[in-house]
Amino acid sequence: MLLQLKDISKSLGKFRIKDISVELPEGYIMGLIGPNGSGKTSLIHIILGLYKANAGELLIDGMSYEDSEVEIRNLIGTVLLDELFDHSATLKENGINYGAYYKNFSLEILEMYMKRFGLDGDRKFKKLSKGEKLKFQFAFALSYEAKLLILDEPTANFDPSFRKEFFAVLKEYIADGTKSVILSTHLTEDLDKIADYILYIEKGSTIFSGDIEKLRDTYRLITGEKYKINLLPKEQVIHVEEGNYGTRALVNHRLRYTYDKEVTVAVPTLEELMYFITKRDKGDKRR
Amino acid sequence: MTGRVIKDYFAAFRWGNFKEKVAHFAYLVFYFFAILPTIVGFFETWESALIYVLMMIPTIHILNSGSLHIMKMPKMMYMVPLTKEMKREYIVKSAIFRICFCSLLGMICTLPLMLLGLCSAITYVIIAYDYVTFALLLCGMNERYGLEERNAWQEARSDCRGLIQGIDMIITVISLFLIACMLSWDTNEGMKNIYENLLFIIPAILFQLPLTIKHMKYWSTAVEKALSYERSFDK
Repeated sequence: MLLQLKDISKSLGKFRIKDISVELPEGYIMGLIGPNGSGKTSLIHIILGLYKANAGELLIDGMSYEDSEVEIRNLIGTVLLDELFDHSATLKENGINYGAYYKNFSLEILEMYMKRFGLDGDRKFKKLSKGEKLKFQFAFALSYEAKLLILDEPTANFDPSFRKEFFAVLKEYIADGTKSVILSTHLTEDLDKIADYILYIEKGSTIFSGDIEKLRDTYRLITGEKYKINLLPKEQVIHVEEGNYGTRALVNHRLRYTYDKEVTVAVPTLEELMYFITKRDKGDKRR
Repeated sequence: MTGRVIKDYFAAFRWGNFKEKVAHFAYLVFYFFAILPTIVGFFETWESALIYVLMMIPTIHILNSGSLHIMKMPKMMYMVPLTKEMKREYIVKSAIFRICFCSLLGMICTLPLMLLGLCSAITYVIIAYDYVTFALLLCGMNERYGLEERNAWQEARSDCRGLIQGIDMIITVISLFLIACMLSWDTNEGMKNIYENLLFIIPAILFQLPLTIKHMKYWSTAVEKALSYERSFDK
C-alpha cells in the first residue's frame, strides 16, 4: 500500500480535520474532492509532512515521517499552488539546484518534460505565467522517480489542450503499476474519466472514501414529477431540488429497491454528487 | 549549503516581498531621511548630514532585513529531502550570514567617517558594536503567526514576544540614534570632554546589551520553530 491514512485528525485553529482514513495502492489515481474550505489543502499538507497530525497514523510506502523523512520525501512529487521555486533563477537552474537534493533526480528527464510541456529552460521562473509555473512544478515532480504524485488543484490553471496532455502524462505515469497519484481538483468531470478512487471531504470530515465504482453504486440521481419524488423513502433521500423541468433528488441507492417506472434513474457524476451534498449541508434538508 | 544560504538571502530582495511591506519600508525611509533630520537639524552642515546618511542607510537595511529575512526556510526547502540536521544547518547559517552581512554593511558605510576624520577610532568601534547588536537582535525573528500559533494560548505568548521584540527594536534604534547625535554634536560643536561622549554611549550600551543577551537566549527556540513548516507559515 503506497499511502495509508488511519483516523487522521488535525486542529487548525477553529477548523478541524476529523478522523480521515484512506488507503491508496500502487498504480491508481485518487481524486480528492470537496467544496472550498473543506480541508483538501490541509489534508495534502498533512500527507506532505508539512503539518503534523494531532492523532492517527500516516504511512507512505510503509514508512512514517518520524522514522524516514528523507526516504519519503524522495518518493513524493508535488504540485502546489504556491510558487515554490526561486524567482530570479532560470527553470534549468531551479531544476539543478533543487534536484541536487533528490537521490534519483535526472536533468535529462526534466528537460524532456519541459520540452514536452513547451517550457524554455533558459527562461526565468518569475517570467512564467501561473499555468507555466505549475507545468514546471509538474515537470520537476516527474524528474526524480517519485512514486507518489500529490497535485493540489493544478488543472484549473491549465489551458484545455494542456489538460488533455496532463491527463495523458498521469496515465503514463501510473501505467507500470508501481506509482500513484493524488489529485485534488474542482473540475470533477476530469476525475470521472481518470480517477480510480475518490476521497470526498467536507468540513474536514469524510463524506465518501473508496473506489469510484463503489461511489457510483452508492448514489442515484432521480428525476421526475415532484409527487413521484416525494414518494421516495425519506431515509434514502439526501437532497431534493425542484427545477423548471421536473424535480431531482439524490438518493442513497439500495440494490433491491425498485424505483417507480415514471422516474429517470441515473448514476450521478461527481459534480452532481458534490452539488447535492453541498446543498444538503447548506439547509433545505430532507433525508 | 552556504551557497544556497547566500543565494536565498539576496533572492528575498524582490519586489513581491517588498510589496507586502512597502508602507512600513517607505515610512522608515521617509522618517529617517526627511522628518527626523529636519527636526534635529542634521542637515545643517555637510559633515553632520554625511554622518547621518551613512549611519542610517545600514540601519534601514537592517530593519528591512529584519522583516524580509524571517528565521525560516523557503517553502521548497521544507519539501526537499533534507535531514533535520541539514535543515538546522541551513537555518543557523542563514542567521549567521545575516548578522555578518548586516554588521559588515554598517561597518563599511561608516568607515569613511573615520577615514575623513569625522570620528575617532574608538567611536567607530562603538558604532560597529551597535550594528552587530542590532543585527543580532533582528536576526532571531520568527514569523509571529505560524499555523501552530493559532492556538489561543500560544498566540497570546507570541504576542508578548512580539511586544518584547518591538520594545527591543525601539531601544536599539534609539541607541543608534543617540550615537548619530553624538557624532553630529562632535562634528558641529566638538565634544568638550569624555563625559559628553559617555552621556550618549552609556544609554546606548546599558540598555541594548542586556536586551541583546536576553534575545539571544531565545535563539534555540527560534531555530526549533523554524525547523517546522507549520510553526513558520500560517498556511
